[in-house]
Amino acid sequence: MTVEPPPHLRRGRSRVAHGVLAATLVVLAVLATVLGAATPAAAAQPPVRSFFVPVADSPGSASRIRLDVDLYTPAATPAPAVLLAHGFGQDKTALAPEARRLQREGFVVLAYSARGFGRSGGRIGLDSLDGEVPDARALVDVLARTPSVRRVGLDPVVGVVGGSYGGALALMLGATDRRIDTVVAAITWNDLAQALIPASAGRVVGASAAAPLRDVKSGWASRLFADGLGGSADPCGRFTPAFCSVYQRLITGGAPTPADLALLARSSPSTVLSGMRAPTLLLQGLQDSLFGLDQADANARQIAAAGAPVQVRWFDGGHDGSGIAGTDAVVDAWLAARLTGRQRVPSTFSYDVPASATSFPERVTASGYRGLTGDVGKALSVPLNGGGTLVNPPGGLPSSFTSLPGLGGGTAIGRAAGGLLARANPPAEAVRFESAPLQQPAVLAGAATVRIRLTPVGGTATDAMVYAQLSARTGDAERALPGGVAPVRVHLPASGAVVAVTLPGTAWSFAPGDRVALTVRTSDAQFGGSAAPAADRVALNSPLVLPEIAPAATARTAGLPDPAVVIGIGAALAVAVVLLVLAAVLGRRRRSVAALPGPDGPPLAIRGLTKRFRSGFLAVDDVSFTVERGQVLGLLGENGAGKTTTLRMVAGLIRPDRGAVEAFGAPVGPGSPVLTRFGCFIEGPGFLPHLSGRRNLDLYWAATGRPRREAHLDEALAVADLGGAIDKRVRGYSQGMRQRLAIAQAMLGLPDLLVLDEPTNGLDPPQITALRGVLRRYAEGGRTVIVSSHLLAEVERTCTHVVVMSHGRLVAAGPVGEVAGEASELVLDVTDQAGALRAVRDLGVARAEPHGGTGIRVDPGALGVEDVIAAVVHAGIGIRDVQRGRHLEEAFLELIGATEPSA
Amino acid sequence: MSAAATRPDARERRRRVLPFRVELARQLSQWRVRIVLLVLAVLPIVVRVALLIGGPPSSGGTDLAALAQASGATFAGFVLVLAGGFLVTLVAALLFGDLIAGEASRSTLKYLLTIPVPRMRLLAVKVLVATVILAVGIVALTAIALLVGVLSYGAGGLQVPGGPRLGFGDSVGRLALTAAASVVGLLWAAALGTLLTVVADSPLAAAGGVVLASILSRILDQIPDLGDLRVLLPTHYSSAFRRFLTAPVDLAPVADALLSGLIWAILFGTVAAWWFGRKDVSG
Repeated sequence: MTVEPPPHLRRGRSRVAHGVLAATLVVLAVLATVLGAATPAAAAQPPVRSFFVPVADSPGSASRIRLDVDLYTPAATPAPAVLLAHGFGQDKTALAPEARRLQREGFVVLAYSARGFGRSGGRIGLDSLDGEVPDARALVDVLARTPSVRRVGLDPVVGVVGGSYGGALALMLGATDRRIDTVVAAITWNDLAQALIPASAGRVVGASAAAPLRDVKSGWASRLFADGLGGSADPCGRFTPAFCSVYQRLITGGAPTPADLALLARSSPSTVLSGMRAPTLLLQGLQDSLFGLDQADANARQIAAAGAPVQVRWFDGGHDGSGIAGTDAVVDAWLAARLTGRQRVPSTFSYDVPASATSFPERVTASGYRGLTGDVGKALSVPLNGGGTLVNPPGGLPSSFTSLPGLGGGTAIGRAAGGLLARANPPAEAVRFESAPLQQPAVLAGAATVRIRLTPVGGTATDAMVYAQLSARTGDAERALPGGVAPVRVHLPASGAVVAVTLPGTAWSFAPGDRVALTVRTSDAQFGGSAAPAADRVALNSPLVLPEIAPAATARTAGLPDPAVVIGIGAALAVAVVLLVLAAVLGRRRRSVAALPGPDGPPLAIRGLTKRFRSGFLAVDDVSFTVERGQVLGLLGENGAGKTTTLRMVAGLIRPDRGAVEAFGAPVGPGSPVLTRFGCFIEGPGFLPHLSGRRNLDLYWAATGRPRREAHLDEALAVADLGGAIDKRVRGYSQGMRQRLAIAQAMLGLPDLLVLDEPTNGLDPPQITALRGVLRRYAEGGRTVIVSSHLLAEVERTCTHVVVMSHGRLVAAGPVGEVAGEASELVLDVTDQAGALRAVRDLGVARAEPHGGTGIRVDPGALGVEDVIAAVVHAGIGIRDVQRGRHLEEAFLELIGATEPSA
Repeated sequence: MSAAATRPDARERRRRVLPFRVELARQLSQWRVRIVLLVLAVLPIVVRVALLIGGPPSSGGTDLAALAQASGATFAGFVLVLAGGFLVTLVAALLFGDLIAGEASRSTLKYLLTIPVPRMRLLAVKVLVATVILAVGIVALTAIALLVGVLSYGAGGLQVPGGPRLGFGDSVGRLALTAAASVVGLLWAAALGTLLTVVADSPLAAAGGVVLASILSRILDQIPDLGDLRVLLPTHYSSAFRRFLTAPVDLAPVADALLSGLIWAILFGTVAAWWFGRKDVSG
């Protein structure tokens, strides 16, 4: 009867969403798809019609008020109808999610604002038989006239569903209107007087059965009244004047008059349930200090007595917890079975056991409903120890906090806040009894009972007012059992009396080692209490009796992974394994194809190699050449000519856009096995700087996985020529030292093809000379060396063959001599260029031409060099300089199109 | 120079290049890796000293921080929770962000590739080594935390906040599961680090990218309006490992975390492998 959170399956929906999302992710492995799937496309909404229904203000009255109504029609009609009633303080808009859900389930749904709420007229009569109940009957009339509602004969098929305030209405409508085919009533009351002004939960043993004393639930009463004020300036808000005066009397400490109780009875299902014929589902929350399990128990008894089938469920919710959240599936299944399927009501009873400090929540199913006293003979007797004197201070203040209405033990926040408040409870106002650690697990289901002896300290007869509450202690952690406190208000004779106390009905799972505690207090912030100062001794007169119900089945409802998630994990692992196997198989196949024993071809053959970088720069353009065994090939070109890019493609570091590289007859790509026969030094050295040169070489060779004896480390170290520095950290090496170490690393294992990119960078002339010798000797053994350089003289002196590149293109290739020009060619610097040309042409040389400003270039042909020189000298021309053969530099500059030598 | 041309015979070709132990030795030689392991190992001692400075234990707390000094196992659990928040993500980012980008930045990548180490083999061995280092780090953290805790507060079992005191044997099992679950919680970070280290050429950029993604994901996870979409965030289940420090143990978030981690790992890992397989190595 309070502000309900709109009923929905937030938790359940999100769990399902996890599973669906997860499975989708695994199957598709595409993020975008999942993002799309996570936001379900808005389905086309079936129609909703809003209108007002005029009803009589009171029975027999001519004046009319209007009720605000939404009528939801499903896709297929005629369909069974459901009348939805809202909770206290709400209106029809709060029912929209549930109404839409039922509409999708195929029901005609009529949701309305009760009188006194929302835009409906009238005043709040707390589900009065003289107001709200006739209203609901008028709405059934509307449904009976609606063509989309299914009919059996003239009778419309109608169920009524409500929670809290709506639940009582559903019960009373079901009991007073034969057209109702089924009732679902959640977290609601049976007797409004008992719910708001409960009679004492304890009675003096042996005393005559006088009218029990009552105590008002002032906390709840004031909250409900505030919810009904609706922001109006009237101190009575939208309540009827009669209810307003009852409230004012109770909250100011007055006792209810017989007229008040009669008024509350007109708003209680207990008054009419003897007329119930419709199958009824009663859902009652464990976390409910407003309408406890005793209210549902009374409803169930009366309905059963009236001969209607009834099913009871206790779920882990209620006014102190999450409202009626989580009951959607149960309600839907019930409505489908009753209204669509017309099935029999099963006799089973199920109850939730909330999570404790050591166990998960469970749902227990029993063969039938047992009430609050459990199975006969199955109760557990637990002796408790303790005792002491209770003091009620004048005014009953400060009062003890045992729960927060609407925010009780059902939520973590409620538990935390309640725990903090409870710690501040005045110790003189409480007496505690505690059991020894339990030896066996036990599940309490129902209302525990205990007998206590109360003795007034003053020795005079008095009215005693105490509150009893159960809690469970696990280690240092103590949790109050859900369901609130039992108010006990009895007349005590001067000698005291034994009081039999019935604690609030609840369900709880005790683990071995847990202790059960009973706390008796003189005040409770949620109750009116007693203002008179008092002191009573409290002792236990009997063990605590915990009723139990034999379970037919127990299901854990939390703590286990969603099956969809488990399947998802399996699928993800399978996908991972498949991907790994795929990668391994593809890698092996690529390598085995690459390793096919082809004809042992030339060490290196390049065909049509082309590489354009992502920037658009064409680094290598259609380059082809072949390197034969024993050659020392110089790759010559200006900076940026594409030498390094070519060598990177040769080493499989980058992929050519077009063309192919073959080495020893096998294709070369990233990771090709034939690369084992390569030794590479490309674009600068790379070492672990914090390790010594020797350790670097060791680790490098270890990474090849080949035996150490194949490394020929000594020969490599001789090339590096680092002396004692080989055992120092590479970090301290000079550029030249690193360069030599890198060349040594490339030579480890004496590879068949040595690829060196600009090896002389940073070397001094003696080192360059030494390297030259090393490379020549290396190639003499039948191995092959490729050296790139932009230093022409270097290539000319070191290499047997040369490939000249410029702007990414190959411009010349062949033996150095061939590229540079005829070996026998002579270049003479003479005193008379024209005369000299004449002289040598007269001699009959193969070719003669001017060279520069003062020189001539002569191809002697069959003649000897000495003959040519002699002829020039004979002509009386002076020779200032003689060069045998053409310099590569010249050829190079000519080839790349430069007109002037740069230096 | 020997004139004999050496050709690897079939037996030698079958030998695996870049053996696991060689890569492990290469990694462990780096101070970066050593410091990461050292930080994890020293953290429990730092926490213990901080508690020493902070004074005697406060009584009757309801969270692990207040209960840290209740027993040796509780202290270890507290240290794991402290480290599990962000430190281990940072460690994973450093280790995995360095895999390829670290080699590229030292110019050693090209020499490994021309050995030749097949690229998938290189990536696989490096991922394996980084995983082992990370796992060893977290195991060391747990073991040292337990040792420091037992020496300081006695061999008591885990005190569950708002719950029972567990037995010592049970507690050690819980701590082991917590450590294992926190490694699972790093799957996404490891995989993202692997992807970024392949794409970026700087190890710092790769590690920073993971840290940034982690922070961003945590920020987005704080926005309730995103609703169920938040399950897509890689850090959404980052606190699932703490479930093993509560009673009773709710396995649902742990399973969710495992699934989420696996999906991200497969996604990032596949892209990383594909990218590295066709990448032009220029560093």
